[in-house]
Amino acid sequence: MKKLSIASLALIFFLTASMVYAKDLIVVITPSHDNPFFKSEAVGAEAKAKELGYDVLSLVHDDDANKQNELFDTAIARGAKAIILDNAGADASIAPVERAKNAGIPSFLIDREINKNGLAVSQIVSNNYQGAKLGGEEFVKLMGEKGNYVELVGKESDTNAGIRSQGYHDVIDQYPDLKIVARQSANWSQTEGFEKMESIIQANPDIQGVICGNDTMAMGAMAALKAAGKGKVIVVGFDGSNDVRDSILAGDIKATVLQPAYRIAQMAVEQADKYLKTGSTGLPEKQLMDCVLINDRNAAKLETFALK
Amino acid sequence: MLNTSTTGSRFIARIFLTLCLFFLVINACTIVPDDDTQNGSQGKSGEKEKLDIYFVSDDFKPDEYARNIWKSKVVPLFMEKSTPLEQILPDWHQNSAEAGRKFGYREKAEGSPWNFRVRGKGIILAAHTTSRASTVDIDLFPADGTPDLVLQIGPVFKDSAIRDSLDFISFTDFTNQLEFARLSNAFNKVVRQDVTGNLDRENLKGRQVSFWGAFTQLQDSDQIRVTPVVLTIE
Repeated sequence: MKKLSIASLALIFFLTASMVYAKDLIVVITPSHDNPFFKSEAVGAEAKAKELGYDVLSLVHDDDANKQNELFDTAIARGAKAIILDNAGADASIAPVERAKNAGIPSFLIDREINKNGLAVSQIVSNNYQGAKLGGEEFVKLMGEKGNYVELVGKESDTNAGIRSQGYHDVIDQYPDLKIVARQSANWSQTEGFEKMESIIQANPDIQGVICGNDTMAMGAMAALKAAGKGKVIVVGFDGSNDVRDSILAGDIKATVLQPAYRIAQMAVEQADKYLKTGSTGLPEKQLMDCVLINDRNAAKLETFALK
Repeated sequence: MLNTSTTGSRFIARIFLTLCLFFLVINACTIVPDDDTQNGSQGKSGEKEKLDIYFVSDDFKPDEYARNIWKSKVVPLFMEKSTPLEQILPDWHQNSAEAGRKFGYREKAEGSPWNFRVRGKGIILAAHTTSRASTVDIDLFPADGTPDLVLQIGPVFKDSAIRDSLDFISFTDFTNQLEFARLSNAFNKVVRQDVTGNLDRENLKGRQVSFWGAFTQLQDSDQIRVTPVVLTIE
């Protein structure tokens, strides 16, 4: 009996101690880190959270809404204080964010938005329309306002794919001598970008330009073009990755649009911290961050989704 | 099933009728005139090539939205709350961010440019009308022969200066970036239709102008590029 009470006392002591000493947990959920953009987000969020004294659990949903649901369950079960999310679909992610909210866990969205307001505390996204217009205008200039071109579009479940395409076309469609010969989704993927480009080249050998919804698809397209002996074709991406920076400096890809991915992730954590401490971020839920055009003039200053 | 041949001919007649109706409908559709051929820059582009953009839905009607508040809220805001441009210029040329803090508006700070609601009077020094994004160079009074700003006269308008200078519009009130972008385009469309649509474009140089409008801080230059909300050319 005595032994038992000592044991239970010890247990209580241990539990209390662990409650006192365990740091609050922030769960960071992003798409696969294969794409350096998402890796940079995760690294940025993690660094800031640790700096502010949180424990961090970093998870990837691989753009699978079901997996994302499970990750939210994990976050809820682990008693996370906040979730930093780059989501797996503008519509499919509404439910898990709401579930977390009902469980008392605020979500802070980065990069991709959801099609419902009032569920997440913050949604910090790049000003993709402004960025796409920058990319589109640079593309038009590089093309000399004429020629046949291809567009590689992003993932259908992501509003960023739609908005970038819209921005490109709002600019490019003003020039009647620029003719689109193929427009396909390569799902943000480098391998798909390569494969889709390969078959597009076979069907339309006369191509002068390729405009892409992100950098990984641009890398894939550039590789396919070079393999087909068409290394002079103008390729423009979107993201501002180090891979594309190096490609620009090597004279292959001509331009991209920098999204401040690292900074956005850090801002989300700062806002989460402020929200947890004061009950408000002091900012509107939906926040746009302007993008910057990157070409051979400023590419050298680009490092991990930020200009030095 | 007794009289298959009658059923068969009835069936053919029915198909024929359906086809007739179908072509009637098709014809009726094509007869409707495209009342806004400049719609190309909007969400859904014109009839000829319908571009399928993910998440662009007809539920949100940006043109209606912009039109509904233009005369009742947008124009009055500019008439009541805009700064004479010459008052901003000294600060602007020293430090555009400082000018922003003093005279500008933005919904949130980090990663957003400043927007300014301004008014001014001057003379048109030059008109650049070959590009579809046409502009005129304006020298504010007292005129000194050098341009102080460019004024966009369309039909293509760059940036989202009007939307972003309205302090009663918040991105949070819109479902997604597509709606928010289409809203900006819709404001620019009202400008094209109501403000710059009837300009005598070939006869602008040397004329006096007064304007109310918005401009946004550009990333790569300190050019002041105003989109007009009210414009009079004398």
